[in-house]
Amino acid sequence: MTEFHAAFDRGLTGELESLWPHLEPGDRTLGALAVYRNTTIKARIDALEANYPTVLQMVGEDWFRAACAAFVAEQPGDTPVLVDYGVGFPGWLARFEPARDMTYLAPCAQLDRAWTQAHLAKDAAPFEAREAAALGPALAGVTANLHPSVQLFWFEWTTPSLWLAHRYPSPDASLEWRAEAEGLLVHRPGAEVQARRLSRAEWVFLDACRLNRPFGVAAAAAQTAAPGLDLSALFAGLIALGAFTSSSIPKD
Amino acid sequence: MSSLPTAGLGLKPQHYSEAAACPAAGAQRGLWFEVHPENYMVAGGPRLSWLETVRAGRPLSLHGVGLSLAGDERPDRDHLARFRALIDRFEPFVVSEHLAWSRRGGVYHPDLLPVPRSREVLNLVCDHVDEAQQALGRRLLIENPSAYLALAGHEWDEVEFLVEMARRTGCGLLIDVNNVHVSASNMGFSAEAWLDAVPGELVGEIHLAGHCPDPVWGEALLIDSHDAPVSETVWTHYDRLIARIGPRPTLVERDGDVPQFPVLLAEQARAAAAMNAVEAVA
Repeated sequence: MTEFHAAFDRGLTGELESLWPHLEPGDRTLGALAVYRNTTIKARIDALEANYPTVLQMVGEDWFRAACAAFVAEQPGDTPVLVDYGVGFPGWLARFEPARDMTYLAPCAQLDRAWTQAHLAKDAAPFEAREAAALGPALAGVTANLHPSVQLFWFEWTTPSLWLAHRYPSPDASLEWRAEAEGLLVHRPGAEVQARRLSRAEWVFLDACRLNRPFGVAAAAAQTAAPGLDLSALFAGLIALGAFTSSSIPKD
Repeated sequence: MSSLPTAGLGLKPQHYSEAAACPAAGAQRGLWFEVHPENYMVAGGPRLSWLETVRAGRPLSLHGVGLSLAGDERPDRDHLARFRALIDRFEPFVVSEHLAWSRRGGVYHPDLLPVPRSREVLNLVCDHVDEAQQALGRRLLIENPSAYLALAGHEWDEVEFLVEMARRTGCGLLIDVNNVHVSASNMGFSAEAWLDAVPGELVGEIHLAGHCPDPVWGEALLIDSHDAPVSETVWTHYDRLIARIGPRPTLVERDGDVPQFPVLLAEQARAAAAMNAVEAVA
């Protein structure tokens, strides 16, 4: 390590005195230091703004950027891949005192992060209905991977509806925040990220698949969660959504 | 079939489809695009497929911002591996980075931080450039940064330092004419003299961009903001540089207040015309 780098590092976090021995005296020094400080802070806040658009929309630009400035000071980040910056932001928001009355903010931030993860996830060919049909009775024993972009959520409050109303606005969207359990699937079967509410049975089915249970076990779990369920409709619906990938279907 | 790269543009996501559809004719015959690899270090998805579509029709340059070559820590191995994967996939015609640092003690500073041009720093930079060139399997072009701070401890002037680095590592130079103008204005040296001293055979690419005065210090502190058209002074410096060394692949960068694609194409066409004029004389 060099003394210069160590001193500059401290200078960026506000300990300016450590830098003086490394600078030529001049009246613009503080202004020039501010250029670096401002650039690094602005780049991080801009990245958070791009990564958490729903949170920004909910609280407005001024509140958002002020909150981000506090976050940036605590978690400056370790990666030049700025789309990955701020993974800790949802958890941090949940503890951020000024956000205490906005209990929906942290879970909505969590869904913004899920959107980005789905957007950047590995590409994979979805499992098609005709592949399922071709398997016949063997299907129940097959374990299918979820598509690599799939993220499953189950909330005790109406986070999914509230988030969807902001991120995918529609005329009948509900902005109500109440204690009613809702599930959500966020994934990207093709080029576009999709988000869709899940019933309890759908969520249970997909969650079993996530834990590498065969389709038959997933089906039984879904039926237990929702007796009288039309299982083939549920299964066909999830296949049509592109929730599975064919990569792990056994070929025997 | 793409032509030899002449004047290029930084590729912005909002221009993906126009960039892919832009016909290779007239001033755009040699149009090429440059991206920051850090924006494409992702597992999959539409970003990579868009880049593939654009790349299918045009030469591409990968211009890194995160290797921290002038830092006092070795380049991050994982970052080098991800960079290499992009080089293997997209086969850029040129790969570049900066004489700057950004990573230290587990923190990434999203900026191009300065260093004193000391013997100690020269040794560090050369080791890091060697290591990066080895890992990436490519010769790098290294870009001169914008200077804002009068650092103590310079033992070389900037051009001498860059030339010595190139001599030791075999790397080439990416000359950012706007950075030279900004640094010259902030530090009080002659941009013409700086540019005149650069050995032409080391220059593999040229950057042009806009700058702005600092909101507090005004013209006394210019910022390399990339949020404005290339200034007339920078165009004059550019003309002078290529008149001496000959045309080089030249990039027009715009990262803030990004205008419509045709506005950027007009600046790109001006650079292409300047290159043509030089070639006609030669």
